[in-house]
Amino acid sequence: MEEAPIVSMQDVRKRFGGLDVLCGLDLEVSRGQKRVLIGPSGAGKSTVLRILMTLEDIESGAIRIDGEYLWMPDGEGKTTKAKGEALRRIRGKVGMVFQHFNLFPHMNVLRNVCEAPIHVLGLSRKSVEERALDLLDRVGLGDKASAYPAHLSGGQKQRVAIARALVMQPKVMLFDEITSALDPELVGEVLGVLKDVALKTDITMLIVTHEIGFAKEIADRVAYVDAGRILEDETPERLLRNPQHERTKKFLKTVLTT
Amino acid sequence: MIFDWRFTLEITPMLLRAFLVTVEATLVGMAIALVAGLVWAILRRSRRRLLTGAASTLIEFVRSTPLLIQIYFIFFVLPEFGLQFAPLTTGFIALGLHYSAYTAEVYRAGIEGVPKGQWEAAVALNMGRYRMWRSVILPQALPPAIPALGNYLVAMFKDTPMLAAITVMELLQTAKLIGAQSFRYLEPLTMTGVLFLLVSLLSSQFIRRLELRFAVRP
Repeated sequence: MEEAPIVSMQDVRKRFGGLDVLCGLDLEVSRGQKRVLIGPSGAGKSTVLRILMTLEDIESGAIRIDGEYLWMPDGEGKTTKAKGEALRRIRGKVGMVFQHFNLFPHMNVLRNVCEAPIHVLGLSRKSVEERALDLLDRVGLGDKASAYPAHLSGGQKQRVAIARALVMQPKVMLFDEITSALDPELVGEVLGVLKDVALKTDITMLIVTHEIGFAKEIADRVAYVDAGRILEDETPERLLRNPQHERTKKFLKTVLTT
Repeated sequence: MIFDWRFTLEITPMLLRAFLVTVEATLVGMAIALVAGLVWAILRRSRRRLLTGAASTLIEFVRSTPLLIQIYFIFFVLPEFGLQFAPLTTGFIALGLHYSAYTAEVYRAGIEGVPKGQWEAAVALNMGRYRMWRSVILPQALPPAIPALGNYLVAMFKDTPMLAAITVMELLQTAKLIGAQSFRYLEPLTMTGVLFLLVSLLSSQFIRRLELRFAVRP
């Protein structure tokens, strides 16, 4: 028997102002899968992640995360968002790393990582700090625990942000163009950490990126998003080598030649 | 008329006692203004329309009416509805409420200065409203607000003589009384001015120190 997908989005529609950002998007991600979303900017890739992180609302559609409805349709075209306890529970299963890091500038690195597990999960400071230092070691920042974000490079900030999300032990991790704001020479260190997480954990990962080569390396499946829909959804080899749609071909041609 | 130093020395204890009342009114009033203003500012960000509306209306109303009328209203009108306060307590409430409308605006500017990404990071870490405000938003919103809050502290200090209108024996009222009894206004009023000046200057210094102390680390 096939296991139920950990993330399932059905016919999701989302508008920003007068603009349709998602036009009936369907997406299923199975447990432990590393799924990469690619596509032209404005296609709605980031919006998919932000909706799953509960940062954006939707107009219609159904969204389930780990079996629970984040958005439950009523069968008459309307859909309602989970509230209160249920919303908090669903949120607890998801973690996100942002393009612009969004570290807390008034906290040092260790506190950035420890604040939520201590106060949100209610774990003891000692055990959290141990785990945080472990994680910081893993992302290569064991010696930066007491530094403030302003004193870190972009790549270091992003690695802290990854540790901060991981320490919450989410089931699903969302990575929203996490190398796009970095200087080119810093991209590698962040992707290295991401790869390490992908290979060594069974966390489900949804990754929006423009690094096609990287996608090929770690993705189980790559989805090509265009104009608010998933146009193709394949293993990386097949999608990259043999795209079916004209638009996919065109997109791949532009990103691969630059 | 020459400045009589002996007379000045004689009235100083009385002026200093009155001065304590002035300081007390300022400190308690400011404490109320700091807390209430923060409450209004946070209510204004609430998702409940009713709360946002109530807070906005209150702020607008308080800011658009003179402090003296508010003082009179609390002192003379509220007792008709069964709410009676001693003069000094009335002063605390009136000053605190009046200035809370201004501190609320200061807080609001500080809160709006916190980047959107900070709120989103807090949501992504599953923080509840309290934790978000406490750990993420306020520590970033408050330090930039300190200079403006300090200015209102000094402004409130200088507004305390209005409490004379409801018989609070603060500094100015006492100076006037001394003048009326001794027919010498030069010394008590000069001393009053000097005391206000001294404290205002010292407060400005203190606020500058606070600013440095709470500056967000680079």
